[in-house]
Amino acid sequence: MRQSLAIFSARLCIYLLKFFKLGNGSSLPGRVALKLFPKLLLQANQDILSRQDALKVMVSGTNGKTTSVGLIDSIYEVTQNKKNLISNRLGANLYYGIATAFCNFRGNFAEADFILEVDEAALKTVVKHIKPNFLAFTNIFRDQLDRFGEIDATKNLLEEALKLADSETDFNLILNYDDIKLRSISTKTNDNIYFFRLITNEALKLSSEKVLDKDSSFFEENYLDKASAVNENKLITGKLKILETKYSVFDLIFRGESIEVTLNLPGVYNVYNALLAASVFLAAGTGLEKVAQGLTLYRGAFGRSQTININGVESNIYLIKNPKGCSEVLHLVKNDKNSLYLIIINDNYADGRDVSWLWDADFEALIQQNQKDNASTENEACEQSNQSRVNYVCSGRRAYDMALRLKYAGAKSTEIYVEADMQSAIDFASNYISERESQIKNSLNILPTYTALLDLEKKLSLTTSPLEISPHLHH
Amino acid sequence: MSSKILKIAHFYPDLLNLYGDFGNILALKKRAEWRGIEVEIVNIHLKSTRTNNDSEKHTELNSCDIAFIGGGQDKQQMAVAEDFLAKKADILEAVETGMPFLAVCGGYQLLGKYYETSEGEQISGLNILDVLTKAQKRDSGKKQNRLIGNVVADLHFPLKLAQYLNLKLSEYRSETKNCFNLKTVVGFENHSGQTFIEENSKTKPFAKVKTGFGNNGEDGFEGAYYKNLIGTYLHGSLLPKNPHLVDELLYQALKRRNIFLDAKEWLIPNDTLEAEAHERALSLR
Repeated sequence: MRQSLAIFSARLCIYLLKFFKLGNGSSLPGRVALKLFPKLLLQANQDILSRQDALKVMVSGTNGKTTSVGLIDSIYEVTQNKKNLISNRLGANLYYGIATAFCNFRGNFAEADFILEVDEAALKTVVKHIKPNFLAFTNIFRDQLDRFGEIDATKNLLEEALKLADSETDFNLILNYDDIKLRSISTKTNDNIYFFRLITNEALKLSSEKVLDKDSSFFEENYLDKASAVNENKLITGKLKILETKYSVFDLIFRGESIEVTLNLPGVYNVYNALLAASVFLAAGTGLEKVAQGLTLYRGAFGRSQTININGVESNIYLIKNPKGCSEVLHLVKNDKNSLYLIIINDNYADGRDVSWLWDADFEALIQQNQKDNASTENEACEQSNQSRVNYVCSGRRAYDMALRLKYAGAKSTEIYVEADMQSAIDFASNYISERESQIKNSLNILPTYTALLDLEKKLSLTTSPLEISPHLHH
Repeated sequence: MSSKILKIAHFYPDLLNLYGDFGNILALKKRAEWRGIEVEIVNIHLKSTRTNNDSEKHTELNSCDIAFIGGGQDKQQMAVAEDFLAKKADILEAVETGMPFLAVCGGYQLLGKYYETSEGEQISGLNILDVLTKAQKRDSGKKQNRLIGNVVADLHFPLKLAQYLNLKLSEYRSETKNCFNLKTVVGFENHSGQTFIEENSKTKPFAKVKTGFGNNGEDGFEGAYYKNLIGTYLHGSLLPKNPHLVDELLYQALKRRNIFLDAKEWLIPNDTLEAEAHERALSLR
């Protein structure tokens, strides 16, 4: 009774927040519900526990949580004909956000499955209330050190959470083998650990000059470490075959069987996300075909390498939030020859208050590639050559930090346009492209930090679900 | 002109690289190159020197003109502490002869007298800066308070180059946005240790905090300096947004080698973005 009252209040709260346009209501409703009924999640957990075949997945780690969960959802849709899924695809991945996800679920908890992304720091609290049967970790990178202090602290947080999750129920742990920090994570037993890894150092079939940069190899320790003892039966291997700016192809190998997977997402980092998602279902006994099918169907979450239309300009959005992820994005987008870049840097709590990380991301790669490309098109555009040409628009609370980073990475001051206000920056960028149609630039690459991405979503909020912005927007 | 080369020593770049320290090296390098000065970066690694060979008594530091050391995680910092201590003679000689030496966060702590852990154990530093650092006590189950946030502080470290240029180039002074008018330092701090400067010491506070915590959140000072050795908690990266500081370090490095540029040679075309970024940072909270 109390549970349903709490859930009702939360839903009312969600409705009111939406009605008065006070945001997407992803955290407050859960807070309200937990105030009214603190045992909400414990109770839900009891209900779900009562079912043997329930799928209960949590994904944590530094980078790739949202995309991994999206990929898991996608395989889930292929494998299950019922749709009783609790998910926090809105991206609120702290304790209250997860409570909101449970309140949002319309149905009987006893029939539900859940697939949740959980913040590294919140995981400890969450697993006290809700027990997963698959706990997957993407990676541990430097991220938001002002929150966690140090990288090793992140690992400690995950280990503490593991101990708590470990205590009562059986569950499988899905770990990234190529991340030395995760490989060495301490657990009570190794029996329940599945590892996934990616092999990229074999002859790669790459189109044109898009070569896998040496410096973009995802995990430095990848090849240094001699394969430590891993149970082959619990090892999921990806073999990278094609890496394009819009898609990748890899072989997915498990227990001697192999299938080719086309992933409609770019970048090595997304192949890792796909391997994590695949591992959950392979560990759960799903066949390779269905897993591959689910992975291929996925089209990306908002702001994670998604293409949309802004003021008639084709725009690609790539979330950047820490040096590793940012460098991966830069290595990916630098091959777009005719793009204008809009980089939006905020320093709110959720972004990390410290923007030092910009100096560790490989903006040099982007600038150098652009200068090479510009030099080769110089003759064609000679009527433009004396005039200053803008290549980078910097915006957000830390627009000037970004501008400086680009200048010191080698960009000319005249190539950089600074406009702290995001709406004005978007307008400038899209006008700049459409006014110079047929010349030089034909698309916009937007690189926002997390809260900048949320602002962007709001500004472009022409659809109800922020995760499903349609490819053709009309203003 | 072409023969001007500055060598920058970067201590332990692969271990103490937690907070965008690369930006500091990059700012020094670029602002030197924009004035026609070539730059060579010398990475100093763990045990990269002090071989058994007697003729190789010195570290690479002796041939360098500027030195930088950053901060790392506790584990990495412990790993370099002993090695750094073993290089003390060379570092002291460099500092005494006026070498510009920038030490950020962990590097700052290592150059002081000692670091006292929360258990009361004292880890010796190089004792070149008269400062000591204490870990905050983790008592009463309370969360450890890291001192985190944006910092704005009034510089106490003297800017000789700016004085000289403002005297020489009166027309330049009138320009609104030039980096030789800056009197503040801006950055971001993230530390748990509290550092105190000893009283009546030759070590002076680097800056006086207007926004933020600084050395310890108590006495209002940020960083410390002795001659041209600067210890500070500021990163962000520190140098790109504080171009006046970069130029002062370059000026002192050249002066130590008896190289003097004409006042006009210090001016860089299109050099306003840095000062603008600095001014914007003054209002960050």
